[in-house]
Order: sequence, then C-alpha cells, then structure tokens
Amino acid sequence: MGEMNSAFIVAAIGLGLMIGLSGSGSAIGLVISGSSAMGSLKKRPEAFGALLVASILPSTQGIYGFVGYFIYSDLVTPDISMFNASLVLGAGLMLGIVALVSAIYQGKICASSASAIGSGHEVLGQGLVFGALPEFYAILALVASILLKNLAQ
Amino acid sequence: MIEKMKKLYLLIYHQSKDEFLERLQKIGVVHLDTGDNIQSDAIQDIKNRLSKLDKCKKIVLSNKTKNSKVVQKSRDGGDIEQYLSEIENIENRLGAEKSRLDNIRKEIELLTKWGDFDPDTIRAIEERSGYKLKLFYARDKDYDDIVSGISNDVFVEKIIEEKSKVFFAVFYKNPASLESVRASEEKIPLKSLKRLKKEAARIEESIGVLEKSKSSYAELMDEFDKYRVDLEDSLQYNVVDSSLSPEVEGKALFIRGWVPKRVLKFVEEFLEKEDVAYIVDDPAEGDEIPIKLRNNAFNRLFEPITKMHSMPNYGEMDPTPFFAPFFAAFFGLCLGDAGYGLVLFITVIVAILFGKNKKIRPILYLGFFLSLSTIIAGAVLDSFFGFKITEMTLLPKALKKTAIFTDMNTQMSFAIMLGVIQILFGYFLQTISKIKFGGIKAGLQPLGVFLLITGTVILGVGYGLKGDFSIGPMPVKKIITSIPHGFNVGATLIIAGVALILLFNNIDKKIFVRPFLGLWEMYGIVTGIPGDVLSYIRLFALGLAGGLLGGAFNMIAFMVRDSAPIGINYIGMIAILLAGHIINISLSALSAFVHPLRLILLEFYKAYGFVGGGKAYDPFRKGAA
Repeated sequence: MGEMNSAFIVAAIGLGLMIGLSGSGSAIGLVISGSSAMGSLKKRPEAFGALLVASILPSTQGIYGFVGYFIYSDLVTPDISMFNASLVLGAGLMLGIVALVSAIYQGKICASSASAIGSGHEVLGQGLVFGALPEFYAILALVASILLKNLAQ
Repeated sequence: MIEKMKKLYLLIYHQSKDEFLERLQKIGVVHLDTGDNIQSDAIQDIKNRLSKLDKCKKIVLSNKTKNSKVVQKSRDGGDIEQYLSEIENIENRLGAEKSRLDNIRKEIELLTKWGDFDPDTIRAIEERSGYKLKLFYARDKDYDDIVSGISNDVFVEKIIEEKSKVFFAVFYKNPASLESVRASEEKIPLKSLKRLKKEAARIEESIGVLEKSKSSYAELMDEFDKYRVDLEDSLQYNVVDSSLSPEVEGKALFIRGWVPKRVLKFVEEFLEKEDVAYIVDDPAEGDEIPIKLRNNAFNRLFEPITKMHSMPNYGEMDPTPFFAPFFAAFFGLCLGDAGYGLVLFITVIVAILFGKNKKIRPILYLGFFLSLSTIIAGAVLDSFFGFKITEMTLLPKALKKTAIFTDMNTQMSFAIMLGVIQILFGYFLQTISKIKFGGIKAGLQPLGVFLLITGTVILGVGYGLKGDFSIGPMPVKKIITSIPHGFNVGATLIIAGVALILLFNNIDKKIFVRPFLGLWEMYGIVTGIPGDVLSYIRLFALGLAGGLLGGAFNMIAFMVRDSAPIGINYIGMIAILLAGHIINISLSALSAFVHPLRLILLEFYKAYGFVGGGKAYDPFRKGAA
C-alpha cells in the first residue's frame, strides 16, 4: 500500500510540473510580449494584426505541456509502478523546465519585435524567426518526453 | 532567377532636362543611381507635404462617430492642400475644445461635493458683511477638536461628510484668526455648478459638430490617395534631379543607371529619340548592381520570404525557386492534418472568389498551395481533425492507403531524411553557384562537404544501423546496401570529401596554409551539420503536437457528450470541438509558417552559402508608391 501510494504521488508530481511549469512559462512569456505589444499599439493602432502574431509565440509551450499531459495521463493509475512513475516525473521536469524558461525568454524576443513593429520597422517575419529559435528546445523536450514513454512497462 | 542588368551612362542636355526626365519617369524601367541622402528645399517641401497628408488621413480615418451625415460641401476643383489645412485646423480646434472640456469636467468633479451654490451670493455676503469664505476638510474624528479650538470670530458650517472626511466652510474677518483652524484648505474655483454644466454641454455639442465635419472629409480619401501618388512621383523626380551631376560647364548633366537586359532594346529606341548621349556597358566588378527577381507564377509567391532575409547579390543565384517547393511541403508537414488543410483550402478558395482586396491575392494563392500541401501531408501522416485516418470506420479502405507514415518513429525518420535531402541539395547548389561565379576551384569545398555528408549517410545508415531500417514504404537501408561495394563507395566519398575540404577552403590563401585552416572548417562542419539535420525534427514534432492537441479536444468533447445532461451534451460537444479546433488550427498554422521559415533561412541558407545584401531594383517611374 505504502509503495503504491508513493509511486502515485511521484507520478502526480510529474504531471503537475509538466502542466504547471509549461503553463506558467507561457503565461509569463505572453505577459512580457503582450505588454510590449500594447505599448506599440498606442503608436500604431493599425498594426494590431502584426502585433498579435508577433506576441503570440510563447503560447505554444503551454500547449506542449498539455500535449505531454495527454500522453502521460493514461499511465497514471492508482497502481502505477515506481518505474513508470519515475518516467512521468522525469518527463514532467524535462518538459516543464524547458518550456518554462524558453517561453519566458521567447516572450522577451517577441516583446522586442513588437516594439520594433511599433516604431515602424516591418520586421514581423524576422521577429518570428528569432522567436522560433528558443522554441525549438521546447519542441525537442516534447519529442524527448514522448520518446521516453516508449520505456514505460 | 536574377535578371541580367546592363549599365547605362546618360548625358542629358541641360535645356531639355525637364521634359526628358518626365518621359523617362513615364517609361519607368531605368534604375538610376541616386545619392543616398539627397537633400534640397524642394525635396524637404514634398516630404513635409507627405507627412502632413499622412497625418490628415489618420485624423480623418480615426473618426469614430458613426452615422454622421456627410456634410455636403462643394468640393470639386478644390485644392487638396486647402482641405488638408482645413482638417488640421479642425483637429486643432478639436484639441483645444477637448482640453477645455477636460478642465471644466475636473472643476465639476471638485465642485459637485460642495453642492450647487451661487458664487454671486457668496460675493454679496463677502461685500456686505465683510466676512470672507474659505473651504476646509479634515478627518471626521478630528472635526470636533478643530471646531472647539477655533477662535470666536470665525464661523464654521459643516457641508458634507464623506469617506470618513468632513468638508466644512469657514467664514472669517481677520486672516490671522484662520490660523486657529487646524485643517487642510480645499482650493476650488468659486463657480456655479449649473453654469459649468451648461458650458460643458455646449462644448460637447461643438465637439460633435467638429467631429462630423471632420468625417465629411472621408469622401475625399480617394483623392488624397491620388495626391499621395503624385507627391511620391514628384519626390522621386526631385531626388533624380538633384542627383544629376553637371558636366561641360553645366551644359550637360550626367547620371548612371541600370536597365534589365530584357528591355534594353526598348530603352535604346526611346533614348535614340531624345536629346541625350548614352553608353550601354556590362556591369563591372565592384558595381552595386540592382537586383530584380524574375520567377514563374508559383515561385513568385515565395519571393516575400526571400526579401524578408535580404535580396541575393548579383554574384549568386536567386534561392527562391530552390526553396519554394520545400517550404510548401514543410508547411504541410508541420500542420500535418488533412482536416485542417481542408478548412484552410475552403477558406482560401472563398477569399479568392469573394474577397475584394486585390493586395492580398498573392498571399491567398500562397495559401492555396500551402493548404493543398497540408491536405496531402495530413493524408500521409494519418491525421484528420485529430483523428487517425486508419482508425476511422466510415472511410473506405482505399483512402486509408495514403497513410504511409503512421507511427512516430517513422515520421521522425522521415523528417530527418528531408533534412538530409535539403541540406545536401543546398551544398549541391552552392557548388554549382561557386563554380558558375568563381570558377571550378571555388566550388570544390562545398563539393567536399556534399561528398562527406553523402558518404557518412551511406556508411551510417547502410552499415552502421542494426536490423532492417526503412522509412514507411521506403526500404532505405536495402537501397543503400544494394549499391555495389557500398561500404567502399561510402568510405571513398568521405575521404575524398575531407581531402577537398582540407585542400580547397579559402582558395585565396596559399595551398600549404589551407589544411590548417581546413581543420577549423572541418570542426565547424562536423559539429554544425548534425545539429542542422536534427533541427528538421521540428517538422514531425509540430505536426505531432498539433495532432495530439486536436485529439485531446476530440476526447474532451466526447466526454462532455457522454457525461453531460441531455440537452446540453451535444451543444457542449459542438462548442468544444469548434473552439478547440479553431484555436489549434490558428496556432498550429502560425507555427507551421514560422518553423519552416527558420529551416529555410538558417539551415538551408547555410548549406546554400547565401550571402545576400543586394539592393532591390527600383526604377525611376510613376506610381511607385
């Protein structure tokens, strides 16, 4: 009984970190980019579309966390083995930390491109490319966590 | 394709300069080398007019008053500048009125608490009795102490209590006795609230009138736009005019220009009839040759991507036609869902058929190809609105055969394979380009990298991997091992590649220095290319994430259908499906655009050896803006 409970707790912490960290990362990143976009909107109200696209990139990390959750949630049952639970925890940490950090810093890139757009530079495409650079590591973390599930017994 | 250019030297006779420039601008195909920072009074004047026009357009368009009747004024034949001044005038008056209204509103806010009193009465009291009025406030618990501490010749009247504060009036004769009032004074204008409100209403009305007359200028917008084009034309004209350099004691004016080879004949015929002397020449090394891209209808759609990075320079090939099909395919793989592709496809078709905005047509045509690619990719990757096509019971079996990359590992290998292909293609093109523009020797290093990668793939996949390796229906390992003496071929390619890299890097340096420099190049290649290839994993990962998220929404929707009370269950399901897939499709489409963009601009351009930095061909013409 004791063993089963601790395994379940470990797995639940993993899921919690997966969603919690990645969601917080996206939220913080979006606040960073969104506030900058709001400032630019005052200068160029007609650029709303471009600013929206420029500042929305950090939303994807939260989605990766959610996708990870969906992949791992069927593993998490009351009688989960300690081995599988550790996989869930590892995946949660891996995906959560990378998503958290990359979303926050991606938010800063997006904020810069939003303020550049606000000052009249047409750099939406370039800004998106720079924003895609840190995001790749969140994608890698998602892929790695999905591959990790193959080890589950 | 980059269009071939010819250099054109023009010597213009000074007396016929104006007419000639006018006609040259009309034919609009000659790119003139104007100075970068040409200044003159005329140019400054036009720039000022342009910024005034833009400001006024913004003012008129910012008008939010709806249903305002268009004020009819006789506007035909009027001078646009006149109208612009009128608009500016109205805007200034509006600004003044608005700030007055703000002030009055502030006063009203201050006064409201003290009630509606008549300042005349107060003045009359002050005059007749000799008592003066001041207003104070204090915390309510201090009020009684304050009142009892006040000297006898001062009268106190409580006006109102609000938020634990007491506001009171004090009548006094001797200013010295005011010192006994231990409270803060409230300085308010002694004005009648009623009159202020009336005044505010009057200003509001006048603001309304001004806004209405402002909006009446909206009907002139087309003429403003025409005027803008005229201004831009005359700006170009003046820039060219100021760039002419006088020769032969000012009798002739000289300027250098560029003409696409394709229209050279036409330009020469035109110049023959003019009062000018000209020489046509081939571009020389070191010239900054303007770049004009010329691609077929499909590739032209991708030119904005090329321009986003930088125009290629004249000494390299236009990368657009080489990455266009890759980009379309990558977008499809990243979105990776036949259902989403279908939604995009229908949206694009509807927009093409019924959309009125001609400017976004190229984007729509691009969307057409991208959505087609998405449908195909979704069919191949086995995803339709987040469902697996192979698991759909309703579909006929024939349709399910398209799903050839169904499991995750296959999809990932496929993505990496595409990466290897595109990077090899890039180095192949770099080899061709270097040979074309710099001679065979210049092309040997990229050729070396090409051979090195090919050899590594042959050895790695054919002889390094255990078991039977195939990607979907492609038995990759079998194909490679079927090469006669495959192992030796691979090893030879690697050795030849390394040799070429070590011997033919930095071909301007001496040959015995190169192997040492080549070691550094090798280090870059060995550490860089595997990373570049792995970067293509995103093609599979984004499609996977999008598909899984779509599947998650489906699951939640069906959970609602099965567990919610009857009546709201189906409504809930439909709402979740709609909202979920709309969010997913828009975010995935954004990612599916951005990530292939990165693969092109970073990984492919690196292999391609893209330098860029070309200056766009911008001929002297009318209506350029």
